Amino acid sequence: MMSKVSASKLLALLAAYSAASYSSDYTYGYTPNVAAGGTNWNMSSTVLGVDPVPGLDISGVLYRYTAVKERQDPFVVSIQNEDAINGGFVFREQDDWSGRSGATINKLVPLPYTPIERWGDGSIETTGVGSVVDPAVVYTYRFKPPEPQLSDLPALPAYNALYDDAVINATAETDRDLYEDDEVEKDKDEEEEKDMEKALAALQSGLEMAKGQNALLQAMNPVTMTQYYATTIPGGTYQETVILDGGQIKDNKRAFRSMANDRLHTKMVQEQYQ
Amino acid sequence: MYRAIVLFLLAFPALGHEMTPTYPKFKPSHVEGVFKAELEMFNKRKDVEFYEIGVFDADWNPVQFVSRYKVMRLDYLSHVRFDIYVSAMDVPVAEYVCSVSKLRENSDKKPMIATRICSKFKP
Amino acid sequence: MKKILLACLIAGTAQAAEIPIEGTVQSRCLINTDVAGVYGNPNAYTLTTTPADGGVLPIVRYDVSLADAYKARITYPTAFSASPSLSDMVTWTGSVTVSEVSAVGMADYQTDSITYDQTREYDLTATGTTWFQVASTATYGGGGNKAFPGGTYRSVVVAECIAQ
Repeated sequence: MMSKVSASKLLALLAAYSAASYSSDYTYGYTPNVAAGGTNWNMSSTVLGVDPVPGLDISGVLYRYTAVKERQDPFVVSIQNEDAINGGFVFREQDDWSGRSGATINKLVPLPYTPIERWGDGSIETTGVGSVVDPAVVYTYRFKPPEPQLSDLPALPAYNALYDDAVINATAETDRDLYEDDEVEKDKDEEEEKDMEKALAALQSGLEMAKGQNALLQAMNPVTMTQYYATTIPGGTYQETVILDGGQIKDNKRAFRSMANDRLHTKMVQEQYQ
Repeated sequence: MYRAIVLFLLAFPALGHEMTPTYPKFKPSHVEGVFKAELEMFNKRKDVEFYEIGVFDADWNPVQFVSRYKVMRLDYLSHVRFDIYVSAMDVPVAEYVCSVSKLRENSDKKPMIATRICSKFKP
Repeated sequence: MKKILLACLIAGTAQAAEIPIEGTVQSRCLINTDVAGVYGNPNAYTLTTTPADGGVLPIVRYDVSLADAYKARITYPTAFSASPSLSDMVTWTGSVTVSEVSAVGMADYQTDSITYDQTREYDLTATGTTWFQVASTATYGGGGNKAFPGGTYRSVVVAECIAQ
């Protein structure tokens, strides 16, 4: 027989097992082109198109631009975001065009989910000879509103019974005047009770008198009742009223034929045993 | 490699056609003197239903081969595995095996691009 | 109650099953039609894919997962695959250019490509995605600028990916 402790452990295990199978509800999306206004941008809601609140994680950066340069010239383009918490860069992708012709590049850089709090200002920086034309930078993200923390809840005022009016009134000294009035009330109640007892007594005696009178009346006028089931009800015979029109009922010759067949059959069977 | 894979997934919705492996190998078949190579094709083109298979030498001259169908029907987003059989004499000569999309003139989808993918036989 | 708990746990573990998912990673070249292309008709004797003339440039996308394993060969049209009956000659011009790349290593594809007849051949030396755009123009009547007869005109771009 299982003890109470092991049963509660099983309950907890069952609850944990079922909780693990629940899925979280994320919303996925992407921002508009954050480089539409230039090669430097901040991560505000105006630029991102979403509020940069806790629960928003960046999952990738998609960028596109045209590098205009001569093949022999050195040219490096960096797409980057500062790390607002740890310093340095939270994201930096470099394209080295040195010794290559210019072209339009369209690239996606996937990232592990990184909270928006780490993402500082973004920029496209170039070093060398060349230029970046028509830049476009888009962030892909997921968002889930965070669970409310205990510290987020508003503080409740502490309850002090010493300042509660109800407690003060209950513990205050009793007013003697009120108490005396109570005694008067008590006397009144007692009187009313006595009056009630008198009334009941009167009623009782009245009933008893009525009983006595009833007995006297019965003695004077005896009335007998005959019981119902002892009474006989006169009856008679219910004659048959159905009359068959059309004469006699004729015998069914088919039945006779069948019976004759049966008789013959029986005779044939019995002949086997002769 | 991880980045390359993600790029494929996040490409524009497009119509594509692919054939693998890139370097198929000939191996002996159940018929003496005949070798076979196994290939797989995938159709991501809504506007194309048929693909023709061909085997060529290094100068792009046709080489005789046998497969279940020379022109295969491949529905949108479907795979097909097929074998091609080449005689032992032609195995050293066979260089490429190609699949080319067959465009219908009366197709209402009006495709304008024919795609051809060639794999090269491994010696 | 305890029997029910046990039964639930046992049932829970019995339902778990391992379902394998298999796949192979192979080198591949995938050709996609990103934009099908449309002929514009800026005047009676010209059909062109130039955007300024009302056309749409066909764009072909190559996805390659193995470097130095493929060549891309793209041929612009030299004949109509569908058209009304034409009594005069049609002059074809066209070009194939790299439109966009997904890696810096592809930047020299255009300059390193070779062209012959109506075909341009690229050596796909880097993994990733390359977009090629094809321009095509057809002029009717030779130098006579004859008007195209009314009807539907269609031509075909051939995009090839050849293992090397």
